[in-house]
Amino acid sequence: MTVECNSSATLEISNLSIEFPGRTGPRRVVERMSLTVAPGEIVAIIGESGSGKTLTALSVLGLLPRQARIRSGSILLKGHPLIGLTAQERRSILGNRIAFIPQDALRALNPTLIVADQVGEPFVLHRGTAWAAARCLAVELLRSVHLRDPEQRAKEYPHQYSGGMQQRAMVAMGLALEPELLIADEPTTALDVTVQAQVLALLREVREEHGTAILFITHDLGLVADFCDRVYVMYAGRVVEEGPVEEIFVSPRHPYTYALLSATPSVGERTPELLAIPGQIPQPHELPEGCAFAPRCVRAEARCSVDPLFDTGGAHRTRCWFPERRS
Amino acid sequence: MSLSTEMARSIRWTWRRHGILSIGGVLVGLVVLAALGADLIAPHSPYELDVARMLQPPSLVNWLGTDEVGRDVFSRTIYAARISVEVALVAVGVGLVGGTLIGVFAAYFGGFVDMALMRLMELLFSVPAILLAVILMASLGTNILNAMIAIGIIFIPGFARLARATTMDALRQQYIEAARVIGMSDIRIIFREILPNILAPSLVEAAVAFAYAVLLESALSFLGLGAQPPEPSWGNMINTGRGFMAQAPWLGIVPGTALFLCVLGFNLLGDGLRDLLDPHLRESQ
Amino acid sequence: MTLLVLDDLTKSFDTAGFASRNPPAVRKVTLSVDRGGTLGIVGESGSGKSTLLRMILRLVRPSSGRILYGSRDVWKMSRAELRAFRREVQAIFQDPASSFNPRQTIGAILSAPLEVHGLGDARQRAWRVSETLTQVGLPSDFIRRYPHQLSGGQRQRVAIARAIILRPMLVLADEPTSALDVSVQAQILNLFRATQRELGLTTIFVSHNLAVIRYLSDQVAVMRQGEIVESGATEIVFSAPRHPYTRALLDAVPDPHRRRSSTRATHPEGVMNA
Repeated sequence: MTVECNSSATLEISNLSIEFPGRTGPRRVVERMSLTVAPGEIVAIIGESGSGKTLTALSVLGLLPRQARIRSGSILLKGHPLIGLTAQERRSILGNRIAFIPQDALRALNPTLIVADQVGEPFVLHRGTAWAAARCLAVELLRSVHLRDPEQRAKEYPHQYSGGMQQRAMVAMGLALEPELLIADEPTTALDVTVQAQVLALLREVREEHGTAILFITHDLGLVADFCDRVYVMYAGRVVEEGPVEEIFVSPRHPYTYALLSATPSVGERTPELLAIPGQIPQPHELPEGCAFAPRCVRAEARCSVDPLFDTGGAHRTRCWFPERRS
Repeated sequence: MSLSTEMARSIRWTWRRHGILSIGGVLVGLVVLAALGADLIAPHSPYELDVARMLQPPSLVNWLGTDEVGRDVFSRTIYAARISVEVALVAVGVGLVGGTLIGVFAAYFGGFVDMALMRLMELLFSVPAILLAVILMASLGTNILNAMIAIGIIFIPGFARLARATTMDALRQQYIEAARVIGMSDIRIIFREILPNILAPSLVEAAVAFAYAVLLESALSFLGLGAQPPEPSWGNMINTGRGFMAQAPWLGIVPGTALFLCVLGFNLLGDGLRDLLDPHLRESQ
Repeated sequence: MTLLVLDDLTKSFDTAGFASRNPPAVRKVTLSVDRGGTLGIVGESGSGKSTLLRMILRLVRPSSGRILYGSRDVWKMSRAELRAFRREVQAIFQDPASSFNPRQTIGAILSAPLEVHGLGDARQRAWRVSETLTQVGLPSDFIRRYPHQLSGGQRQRVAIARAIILRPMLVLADEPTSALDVSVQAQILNLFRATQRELGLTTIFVSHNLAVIRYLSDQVAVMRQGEIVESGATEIVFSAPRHPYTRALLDAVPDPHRRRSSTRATHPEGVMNA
């Protein structure tokens, strides 16, 4: 398996494996996951529940649940290892070089502090700015995320904001120190679709103006198709397909990717019949030998009891013994 | 892993999760045992006088000494447990059933019913417990049964408030709406959908209320309003013992310790129950 | 044949007497649904679609306007008519986690509607429960399980089972697949379609997900801030929307099947603000 030694990549995860302790032995929830995000790239990890996408993101941030163990692999931020940092080292990176936008902005914001104090906090914590100056900078940040009347908004409390505004405030807070990497975990799931479009446009602007690398965690295929440059498709803890978005959605090669697309109803055209993938996503302790998707796969054969390797397909690769032929 | 380390690990795990519950359970178990088996356990009759042997310190015949009229302190203490448990049971029963029903109805029907019932509860709440008990007993008569009812009435507002809060929580759940949609009547919804789901916190409250009930009963008998002589009650035994603290301290210490252990036991039981029920609820959601 | 008519329905949540500071949740909604039809009500948050659903289910009383079920006003029904209404109109709710009593087994949950309406004896009820479970693709031994032991998809199947066990005429579903994974959603959506065809149900789906509404409904009504801004046959509304809000909505939805240019203009702030 080739590991790209790309030290110009903003984020580089290699062979990451994460496990949880279990009654009958450790349960592997992420299995040898590798990905890279270049500066200014928007990369998505797409998967359903149990795919390991959120855990991967949390491991970059160092926010894994206490019982989780990183069994192997490395995570590099511009060449700097992120595993095994001391608490202090980690604190100096979070909010400064890596920003995180969580799913539920309202829960992530402190209800008892005005927004200016929260958006300005990164300056105080990492640059030693005085609070008064930090608040001014906060107003400017709120303006840059297109919040109307930012001077007034800065003095308000989070619950006075709408969902979309809260998410913009989170983006503002994340961008304060111009981080190299932004990790967004389902940031628009709770938002109306029109608001979602605006928040995504904002993130695209961020990428254009600051060259920030963005890692986007989602389950929404449409979002990935519209918004991201490259995508990693995860199933039961493994990457099953990776590549540029245009290629993956036009000619998916892994049966799971194909099934996922066929199971998503379309808005733009009439879908005669959705393809329902039979069976259920396996639990970590129920994983079969070999390919995790084999029990539900129409193409599965005896060979699939051996874990497939990535085909050497360049940018668009898949982990399957019987991938679709390239068109 | 060897068998002994496995056993040690599982004992430690059980202790951490159920330690408090176990201690509480043991103490309460002792009290209940004393109450039920008083006839078998007590070496002497609690009523038998023997003035010649009054105020005797603990000895082989009278394990914990005798009181001012020669009755065996140990036996009286055990029989007193019976009174305490009886009173606590009835009182908490009255409070739990009455209070829960009031709280559930108030929350379910809302509006005027809610307002009226809750104002009534607040009225009851605002009177200090002992004072309320004294007033009630003064009007009803000083005997054990009235003590039970009085204490029960004191508990009703607490249970009502708790039941009202948990019911309001339950009402927000979608399965209540679903029940209405299939045409379930209000009464059926209350008994089938709401009550089973709000019982757990109320039971925890009941365990703690037991402790308080025992204390209240002792206070009332201390004041001469509860169990009447010659019935032994920890409260009236402590009251008598007060007068003899110099010559015969065991008269006050023994029932005092018994009361302490009983109340402690019920408190720990309540704590342990809460710990047991909460994570269970959490993981079942 | 018309099964349901909503006539000039309005709901305002302000306390009586004071001039409303908040706009009404539902404003002068008029709709009708034919027997066997599938209507989708689509709208974002604050559109009033959930309130509308609850009014149709007779859980919330309208401030003005009428709801006619089979030509009877639902708020003027006799006791017997109301009983029939509660038997013939069923619902599937949004949150699979809280739509079941956690202390009851699946068997008890499914039996409850039959018991409430006094249908059959214990053995017949058990048989009907078993039959319905099979219809939704679940094994019969699930009657012994508790809701928390089921996955999200399984719970939604039980929710569908509960809705159809009385063999109703009209089924309303509120965001029936929002909480589910994509692959599970597909299973449930197909189950919906199949069940609706098999039992000849009239259905009303409420959702913010336009793709799901397009897949499930023949007719659609688009709601915005309490009002219906556009309605009609799904294919026509989706392919040639007339109202600017409908157009903006369709435009904003990302669709993996639709080929788009990668440089999309920043979304105009005109029609809505966030």
